[in-house]
Amino acid sequence: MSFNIEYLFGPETGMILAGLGVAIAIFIAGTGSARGVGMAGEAAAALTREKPELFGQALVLQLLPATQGLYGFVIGLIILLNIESGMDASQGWYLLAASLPVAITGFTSAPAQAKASIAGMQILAQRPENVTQGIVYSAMVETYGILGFVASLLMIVL
Amino acid sequence: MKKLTLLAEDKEKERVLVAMQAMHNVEVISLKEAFSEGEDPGLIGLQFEEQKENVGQLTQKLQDIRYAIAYLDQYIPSVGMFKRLKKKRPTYSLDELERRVKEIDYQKLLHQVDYMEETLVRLNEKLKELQKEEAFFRQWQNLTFMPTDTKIFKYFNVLVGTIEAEKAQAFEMAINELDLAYAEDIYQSRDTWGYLLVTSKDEFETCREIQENYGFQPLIYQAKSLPKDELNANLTTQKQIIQKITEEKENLKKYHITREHLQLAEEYIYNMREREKAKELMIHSEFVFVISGWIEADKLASHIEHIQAVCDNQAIAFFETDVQEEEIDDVPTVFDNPEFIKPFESLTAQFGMPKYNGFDPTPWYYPFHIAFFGMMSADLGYGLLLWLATGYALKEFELTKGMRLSFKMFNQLSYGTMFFGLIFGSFFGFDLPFRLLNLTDNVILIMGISVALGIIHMILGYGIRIYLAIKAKDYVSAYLDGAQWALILLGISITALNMFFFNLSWLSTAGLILILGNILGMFIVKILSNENKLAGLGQAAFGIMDVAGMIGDLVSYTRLTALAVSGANIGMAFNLILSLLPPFARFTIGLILFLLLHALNIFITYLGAYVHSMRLEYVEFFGKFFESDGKSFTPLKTLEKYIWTKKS
Repeated sequence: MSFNIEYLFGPETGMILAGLGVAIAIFIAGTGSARGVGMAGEAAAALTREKPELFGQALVLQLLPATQGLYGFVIGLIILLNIESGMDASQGWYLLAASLPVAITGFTSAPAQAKASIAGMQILAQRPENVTQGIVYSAMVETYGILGFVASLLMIVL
Repeated sequence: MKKLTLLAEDKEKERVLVAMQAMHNVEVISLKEAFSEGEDPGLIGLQFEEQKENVGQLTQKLQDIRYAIAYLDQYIPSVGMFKRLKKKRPTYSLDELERRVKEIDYQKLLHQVDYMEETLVRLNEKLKELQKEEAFFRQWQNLTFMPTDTKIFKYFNVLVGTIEAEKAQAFEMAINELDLAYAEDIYQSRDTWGYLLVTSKDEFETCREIQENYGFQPLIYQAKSLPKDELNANLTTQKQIIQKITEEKENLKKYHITREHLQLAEEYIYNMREREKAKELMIHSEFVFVISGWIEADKLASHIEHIQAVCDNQAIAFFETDVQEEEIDDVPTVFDNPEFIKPFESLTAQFGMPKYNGFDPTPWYYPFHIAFFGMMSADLGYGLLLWLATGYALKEFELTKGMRLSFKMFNQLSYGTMFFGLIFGSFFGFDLPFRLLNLTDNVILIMGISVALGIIHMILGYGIRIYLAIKAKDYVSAYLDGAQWALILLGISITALNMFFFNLSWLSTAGLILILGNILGMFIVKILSNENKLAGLGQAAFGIMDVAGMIGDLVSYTRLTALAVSGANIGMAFNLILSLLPPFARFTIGLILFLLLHALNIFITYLGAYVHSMRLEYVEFFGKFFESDGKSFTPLKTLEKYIWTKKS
């Protein structure tokens, strides 16, 4: 029997590929954020052991790399709203491709942002009044996650 | 700013300083610079007082007081956050504070707290010691005779001792192989076993060899009665000590009055130390002293009036001087904005202080900041919540000045959130029946609006740059760093607008001319302004790269849309999930989930909006013109950590 893609995916190939896009956007970006928030969380916990009163600000620094996962989630949701039964396989491929920018930039930028956040916690430990500057340094990294999100969004809605 | 210099009789020194400190508006400056190098003020009977010792002693006192307060904090039950924030602070004038602290005798209080701490430490040490002994007696509690009584046998040698756990069994076997020897274990622990060892005098030597081989340690027992009785006595004492520790801790709980008094003392000592520091900056002679400092011009009159009111008027002379040209680098900067813009000054200060006479960008980015924040967190419900929460806090809570300003800022930012929430028709993630734009269907349009806002923001930035450069008569910079980019940006906008809306060929030509003309202009100006024409050409070629940077700035504003879409969609998704619950669950656990999930989204959304609106100001706006080489204004002031101080 010759290999046939329809044999593998069934008649709804387009829908399944788009579904794969939903999954990729959410889980890859989510993995990036989970790693980032985890790394920053360790540093935050170490800091709060010494200075429990800084919990709130340490939490802010910890949560900065959390947004990439949310961007992935939103793109996943938007792709999900665009899935229809009987859609073309090519449309499915396109939505799958649209999930990639947010997924990959999220996966890479969140841990990098976490590193900036961890360094920011050093500022917090020694000069709590200057913590805003640490927050801004960390937010710089997020720009690339945002650009990935914007690219994915544009690919879907344009 | 003006410089206020004050000459007064020595007896007025303390009162003048107290009056200045109460006003919080003079930054005392050192008068040492008034003398040129090599000039010795001592020759004309003037001197600077070293206050290091005084300041050091006061700092030490301050540390002791702070330590005692922190120690009491551990034991005095804390009141809830709400109650604490609502508790009104007492207000004292510096004289009243001094009188109050003198009544208190804080040294005695410090000794008291110190004594309590020592008592607790001693009790705890005792307890630890007893616990160690307890473990020992517990092991030997099966010993029914005194180990010291074993010497009385004539034909037998009786020994009590320990051996390492892993050698114990082999040891026991070796002993039992002897004819007239007996070993019995009294206890077994993880590390050691305790043994009673009986041998006849004949086998004493062999037995000793075995003991040595296996590392038998004879017991050294110093207690006066049997281990069992000792254990009981020990446990009773422990109980008593624990009881005593609890009593002491209970006692400490009632120390809140002491803590309040120590807090007053902290305020008092801190204020005194600040005044001592100021004395180091003044100049003294036998009868008079001179103090000098920066003061905001509009506060000068009331300041002088206040000093005149509390001090002996005849003994003081005031001199006012305007800022001199050569002093500008040393003059501190104070923002001067209308009341509603003041809360945003801290954002500028976080980036850096503008120079005295420099440009304060706060009022210029103020409307953009509210718009950016609002767009990135657009939701009518979230905005209302922020408005109510900050409004309540401002009305009901006793906030420090910094906190008050922050709350005021967020209170204003909430208007942006509500405004854009109305435009996007979103209320806690639900659709409002009316809306101007839809975050799902009009994404491209909203992105266009974001970039358009960004273009206006950037052109304003370039505009400020042009203004500053022209003010400094640096016309080359006005064109190269400002006008050129603003015009290119204008060209890009015209071209884009024309493409989407008008499609007029002359308009597209006009846009193109603006872009290319200004790139050409950059070449011309760079070559003309550079002495080395070739280097100018090279620099201009590099300048083209900056176009890419400008496009990057433009793209950066798409984050406005990105954060708006992500916040709204997450709220929507939460509501969608909750709507899947069956009706009964939806109105019970669903409500709780609704609150929790939206609380999470609110936090993340506001965090993102706060951080990214700041980034847009710092990088995309300040980057165009802002020079932050100023100093912030640090007046001689009171601590105001637990109380407020008033003028008199």
